[in-house]
Amino acid sequence: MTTAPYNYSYIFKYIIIGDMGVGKSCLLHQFTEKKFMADCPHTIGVEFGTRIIEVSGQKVKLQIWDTAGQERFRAVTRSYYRGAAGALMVYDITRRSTYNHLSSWLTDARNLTNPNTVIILIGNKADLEAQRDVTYEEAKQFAEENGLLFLEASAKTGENVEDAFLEAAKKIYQNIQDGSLDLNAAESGVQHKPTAPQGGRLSSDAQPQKEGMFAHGDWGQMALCDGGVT
Amino acid sequence: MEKGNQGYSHFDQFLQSQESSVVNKFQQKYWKTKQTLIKVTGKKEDEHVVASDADLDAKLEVFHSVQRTCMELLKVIELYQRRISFLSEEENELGRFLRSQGSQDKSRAGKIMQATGKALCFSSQQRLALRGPLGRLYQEVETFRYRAISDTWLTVNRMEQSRTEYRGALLWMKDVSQELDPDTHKQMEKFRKVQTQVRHTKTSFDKLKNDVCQKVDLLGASRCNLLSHVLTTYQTTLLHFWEKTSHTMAAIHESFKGCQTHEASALGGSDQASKKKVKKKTKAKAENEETSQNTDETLISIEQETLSSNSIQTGNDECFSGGQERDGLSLLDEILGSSSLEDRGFSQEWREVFGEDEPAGSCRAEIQPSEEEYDFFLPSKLLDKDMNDRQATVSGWATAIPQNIPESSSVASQISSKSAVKDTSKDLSAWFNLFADLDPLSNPDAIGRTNEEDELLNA
Repeated sequence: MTTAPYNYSYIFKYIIIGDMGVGKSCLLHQFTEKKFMADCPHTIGVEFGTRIIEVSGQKVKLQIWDTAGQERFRAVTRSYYRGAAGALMVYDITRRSTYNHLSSWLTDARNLTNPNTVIILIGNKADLEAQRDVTYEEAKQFAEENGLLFLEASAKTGENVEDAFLEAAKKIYQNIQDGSLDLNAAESGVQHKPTAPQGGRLSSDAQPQKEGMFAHGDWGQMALCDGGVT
Repeated sequence: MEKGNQGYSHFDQFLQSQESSVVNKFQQKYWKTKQTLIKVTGKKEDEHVVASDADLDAKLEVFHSVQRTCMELLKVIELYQRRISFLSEEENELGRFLRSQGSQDKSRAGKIMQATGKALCFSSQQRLALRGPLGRLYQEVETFRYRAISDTWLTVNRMEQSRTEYRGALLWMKDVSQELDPDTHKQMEKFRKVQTQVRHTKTSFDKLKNDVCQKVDLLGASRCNLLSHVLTTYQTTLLHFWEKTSHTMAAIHESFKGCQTHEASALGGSDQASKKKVKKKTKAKAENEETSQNTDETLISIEQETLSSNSIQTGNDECFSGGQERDGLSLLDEILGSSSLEDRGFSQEWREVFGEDEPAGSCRAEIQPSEEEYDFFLPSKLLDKDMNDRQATVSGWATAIPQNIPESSSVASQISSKSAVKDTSKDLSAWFNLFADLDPLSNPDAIGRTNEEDELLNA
């Protein structure tokens, strides 16, 4: 069953943050393409990906911002946190240093997003059990101490990748339902759209931008190419 | 196909074709200029951008230090040469004076004076021989400056240009990112444009960064090689000079032993006196330059007042501040102790006189062991491994010179045991062979073989 491209009720903005080389781009690629990209070049600035998922019967489009992890891009990527509904903080279980830097990433995330932003901690490369440098327990404890969701995943095998994005989405939706997330607030990271199939407008006039709110999906290319419906 | 996810789509290709458009060029120029302004006015740059270049900046520090110290070395050599001339002149004058006076004196003292006068004249002539190798050193260092340093300087400049462009592009990206929405076509177009620019400048900057780092490493290594070549001649000449003059003086002392002098108590055993005379000649005057060059420390300028006419009478001045242990002297001591060129007895004496000092700092300090992220191999890693091996063998250096250890450092490096030691576990045989004959002292028969530094620099 094919649904019309614009048939979703919400858009959630996600950002993926973490040290260079932990697997952010690979996670995104696995989630949107269901493929593992072995030779991933360094992300310059930010890359984007989208996918429509279903949360509690509602179709939600996830707009995912895969940020660059290299230190020199830090100032640049800080601009992207604004208006994120969910943040995936990724570290590499085989490299302790990436785990140790989490506090600085967390600080950035807390400072630059709104208090309701859902942050989920992801320990990537779970398939490399032999080279594990960070135990599940300690990461779990860290997550609990800081009020984060936590999952270990593997972009290579696909383990828990879908769950990671889904869990965050569920939490966000929950927040919407119980009112803690105000849809009308600027920078909420969520846009609510009526479920009306739109014509394939490909005009690319820049809409006047309000902070944190998204223009209607005029970027036809992206919407058309959404990788199906879960 | 998820356009946002792939690096290159036909959209991006379209953008690339637009790269040469006027607007684009203008924008790039604008941001590059902005960055240049920031750099020139010394405004605080983004700390993360700066931090990511920390290793490069360290290498640049090394380069500038090499530049500076070469300049200073040239000045010092010049000064030293001049002083040798002056000293030699004075010595000669004194010798002639003593001879003329001594010939008029009929007593034993007259004979002593004559003999000493002759010895002094002889010494002054020998001293002039020192100027030869010094002149050679001067020329070598000057050539080094003209060729090697300026070549590296060019690369450094190109890298700086590239860095400014790159940082300018980063500023641009930061600006564009302020208002970014992937759903807006126009904005994405802008963003992609900037992204391409950043990617482009990043690759060229990374490449130049690698070039600079490699070149600076090679620069340091080849300078050490150069110095170790030329300094051997100087060292040999110096040691011969000291040997000859000290033997002469000792002989005189021997023959006039037991003579009544004004301060009889001052004269000790023959060994003692000859040692002290040696000390006199090697008193080092403190040089001000805080260079990490060990050659600066070995440059000795003899204080003139020690050769006062009282020297014969007292025979034991208190101004024998040979107690000033200089790193250079202990360096020479090490060299002496291990070099097969010198006779053992003299070096033994030498060691007693000057002791084995724990030297601090040498030309090694300029080649920092560093964590390199590069895929290629940096010569400085070789150095660190060498240091590690050297520390273990420094005492047995004279007898067993392991031929396999690559010696890309000068002799002084063995003494500086302060650098951190890192393990290089790669297969370095290719590099070993390249550097195998860079240090002539490892194989004294090889002194004078053409060094390969020029080849390396032209590679």
